[in-house]
Amino acid sequence: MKGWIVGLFLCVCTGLLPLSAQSTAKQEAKRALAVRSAAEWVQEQQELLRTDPEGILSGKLEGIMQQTMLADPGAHAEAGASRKRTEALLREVLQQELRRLEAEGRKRAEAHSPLPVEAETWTRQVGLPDTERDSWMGQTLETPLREAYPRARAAAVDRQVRDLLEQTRPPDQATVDAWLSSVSDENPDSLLPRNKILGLQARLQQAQGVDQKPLLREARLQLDQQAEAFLHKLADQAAFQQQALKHAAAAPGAGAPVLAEAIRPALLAAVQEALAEDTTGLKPGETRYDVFLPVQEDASRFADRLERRALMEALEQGGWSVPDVRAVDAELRRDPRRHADPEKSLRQLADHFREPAQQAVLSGILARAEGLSAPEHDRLREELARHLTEFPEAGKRFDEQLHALLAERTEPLRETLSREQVAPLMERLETITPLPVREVDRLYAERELRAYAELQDLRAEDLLAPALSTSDRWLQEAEHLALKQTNVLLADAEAAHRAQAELLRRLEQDNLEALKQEVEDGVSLGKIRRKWEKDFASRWQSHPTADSYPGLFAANRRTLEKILRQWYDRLVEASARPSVSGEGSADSEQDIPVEETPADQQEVVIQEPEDTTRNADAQESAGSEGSSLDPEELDFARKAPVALRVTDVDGDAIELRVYYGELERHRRVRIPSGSGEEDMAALIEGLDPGLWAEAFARHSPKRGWLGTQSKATPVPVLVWVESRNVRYRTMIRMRETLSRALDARALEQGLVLPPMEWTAISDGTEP
Amino acid sequence: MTDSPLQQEQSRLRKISALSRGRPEQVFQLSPNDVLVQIALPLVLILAIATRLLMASSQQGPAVMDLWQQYLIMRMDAVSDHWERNAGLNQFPTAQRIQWDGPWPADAAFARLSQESLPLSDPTTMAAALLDQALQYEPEDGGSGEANLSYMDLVSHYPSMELDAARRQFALSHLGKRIQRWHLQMEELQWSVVATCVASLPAGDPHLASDPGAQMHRLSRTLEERGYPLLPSVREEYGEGME
Repeated sequence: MKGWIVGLFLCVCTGLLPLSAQSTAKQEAKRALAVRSAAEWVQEQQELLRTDPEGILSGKLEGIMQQTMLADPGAHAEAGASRKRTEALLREVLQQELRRLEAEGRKRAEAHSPLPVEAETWTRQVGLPDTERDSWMGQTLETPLREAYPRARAAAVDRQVRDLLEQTRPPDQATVDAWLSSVSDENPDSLLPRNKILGLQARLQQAQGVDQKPLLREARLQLDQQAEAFLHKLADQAAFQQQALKHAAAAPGAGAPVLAEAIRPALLAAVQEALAEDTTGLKPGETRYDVFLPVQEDASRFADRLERRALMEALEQGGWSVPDVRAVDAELRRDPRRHADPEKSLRQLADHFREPAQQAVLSGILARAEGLSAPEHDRLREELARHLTEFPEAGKRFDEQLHALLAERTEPLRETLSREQVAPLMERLETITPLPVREVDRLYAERELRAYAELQDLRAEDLLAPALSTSDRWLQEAEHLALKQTNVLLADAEAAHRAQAELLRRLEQDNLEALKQEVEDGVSLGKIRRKWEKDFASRWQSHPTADSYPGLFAANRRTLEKILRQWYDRLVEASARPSVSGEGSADSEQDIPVEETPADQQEVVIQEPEDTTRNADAQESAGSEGSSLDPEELDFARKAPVALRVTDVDGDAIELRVYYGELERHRRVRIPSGSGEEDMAALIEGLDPGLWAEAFARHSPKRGWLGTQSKATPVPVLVWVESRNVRYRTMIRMRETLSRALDARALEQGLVLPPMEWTAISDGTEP
Repeated sequence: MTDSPLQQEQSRLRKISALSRGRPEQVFQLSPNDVLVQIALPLVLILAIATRLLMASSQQGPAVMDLWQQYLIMRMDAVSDHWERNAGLNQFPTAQRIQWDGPWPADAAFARLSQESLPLSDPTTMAAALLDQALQYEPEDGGSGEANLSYMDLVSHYPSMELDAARRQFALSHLGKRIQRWHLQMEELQWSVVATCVASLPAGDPHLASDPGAQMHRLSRTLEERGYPLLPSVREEYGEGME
């Protein structure tokens, strides 16, 4: 049965196949009309879509854009990237719309066509070429992207911000206290600076869970602005509380001192009251916080400050009675040595009197305390004492006041004590005013009449030593007073000495021409000398110090002699006249031919040195080796390989000492002044040319390993002439004689001795 | 006829044994070859014979006609042929003969045909007019005799040939069939023209419209203006004045 049915079905289908009708011209035409009209309709719809996509899509585009941005805010965070993504999405939407239009157009065509509309034919009629599709998309999306996209983005931003704000709550008091405490800890000087509170934005957003959420950039900016606004409000509240606290702390309170633990609650109550009365700044719905923890801590600090206000006022006022003058004087006199330096003395006095002064100040403050019980009284004393030691400002002010008080009281005491200490010296100075001439000469020779700088210099003076027996216990002021008074005495002598020297120089200038004439006329040196001395005396007698010092000081006398001799010898030599004899051994001399000084021997003009450390016990004969050297001689001996010193000795004799520093040997020889040739020979022999040659041989040129010989360098010979009886011609003669003796010795022994570098010095130091 | 319980039981047992042996139950007991030979071929033959009998029944064989019919039909055919030649319908067996200029026809003969074929839209009047022409028509095939007389003249000689209502109706029917064929052919030609025009129009042409009727009316107006009026049956395919 079933088989028959199936077979019958198959045959019917097979039989009916040839009966399918072919299309007629009418059908073809109607199909063509339907296709073209449907295509026209599609193109009209496409054009409408291109010109008004929003209208065609009934505002779907804006909604699509907004939903896309909200679905993936991370990818759309930045507007530029978001726009690109949105454009791609809209292109897809348009593509779908185009396909829909094409499908609907095809349906319309098929509805009016008696024949089926082939897909290929339809697509060829209505499909946009690929080359035109992109351009069409761009034109279509231009207006939506320019107009609808900003609206969609703004709506998405508003939606995001609104949703987030609905989910978040302002931080509670404990959280805000913790944040502000951290700010306060980092900024102890400024408590709660506004810029630091604004820096809590990251913490705020973290607490609200905003920081990790992907947001559109504009939404994040809005949330940042809102967070900043919240923090500004918070900072305003903090500033208000701080101001209220400061105002409460600055309010004039009772003058009596009060404990901090009683002040603090009052300050906080004042802040609470101010908060309750404040109606500005906050809008309805905004959170008003209670007193912040840092402000409470600040209240504690203010309470501390107020607690020590009484102390600071007492310190500022000063006028203490402790320590009194008698106590200070007793401390000074007990051991003046410890109080020699004024600054050290003040410190020591401050340390000595600190404790009693503190107790006196605290007692004065507590005397004004009112309404305190005994335990509170003791407690307040402890607190004030703690402030005095731990509060830097109070301690500093206390020390300043104490130092000022002690300085004020010790100044007259120190002056009185100083005067008492120097009284013996003052009495002694009165007895030697003006300073005796021989003392002036001595002091000029020792120190050129320079002022005393230290007390130990005064102690070295035998004249003053007895008056300085207790000077090791003097105050500094006493030392200064002693030096000052002594230097006054010395200054007067120095002024007189200098005036005489200046007068001698003028005398020389004024009498030089006359001297020349007198030399030509053959006047003796003695007569000239007496004339000059008279002239000096007449000029000097009008000087203010002539009464104290009528005569020439020794140094000035020597200067006068030197001037006379030098000019006289020069002039005599120039005129080639023999000198007039019979005036004393100091005037006798022998004409000894003098060779011209060679140019390569650098000779310096011999000056009159000062004889400061002549050994008074050196009474040895010529040619002997001297006793051990004093420090001055030792110092001079080491200045050069050979050092020569010429001094006057008793009578008119001259003593020559030669020091061979490197050989650690020395010789001493005496000859009468005005020596002749035989004396000169004895002199040379006494200087021991062998030693001289040995000293020079140490500096002979060495022969190198190639057989070359180094260049011979001159050996310095220092000559210190302290004698007024020795003239430079004598020294030249001595040098030449010595040179000949050395050459003979070198030739005899086969030595190559270097040349001499003869250098004259004036006071024992090198020129 | 329903099977007996025993047969049903046997049938079930056979199915179970077939399943147990892994062989699916065969729905069809015949092989494909059996179907082809025993069922399909006989059906095809039966259908072919039935179709042929139906076609034969619709055809009328040649019948013996009366003399008046012969004379009248000859004259009607001559007039009809003359109309065809005059209108130029025989020049356009298909639309491919039409000459074009762009999307529009540019054929004077077809224009004339279009003009001449307008009466086809009123076949009754056109048949009566052709009948009148046929009745007055005198064949020109030469010779003398009654064949060259007009039918009216024949009626005057043979009153038995006078057209009565029935005979007139027969004549109008005969002409009507010819007119109907002309109408169909003309429709075919004009639809082809329309199809070609629509297919050839460029995109954006003002004749195109999103509505097929409006599109058709714009085309028919333009064709009429160009001298190619369409038959009303073509022009008003989508209704009158749709734009």
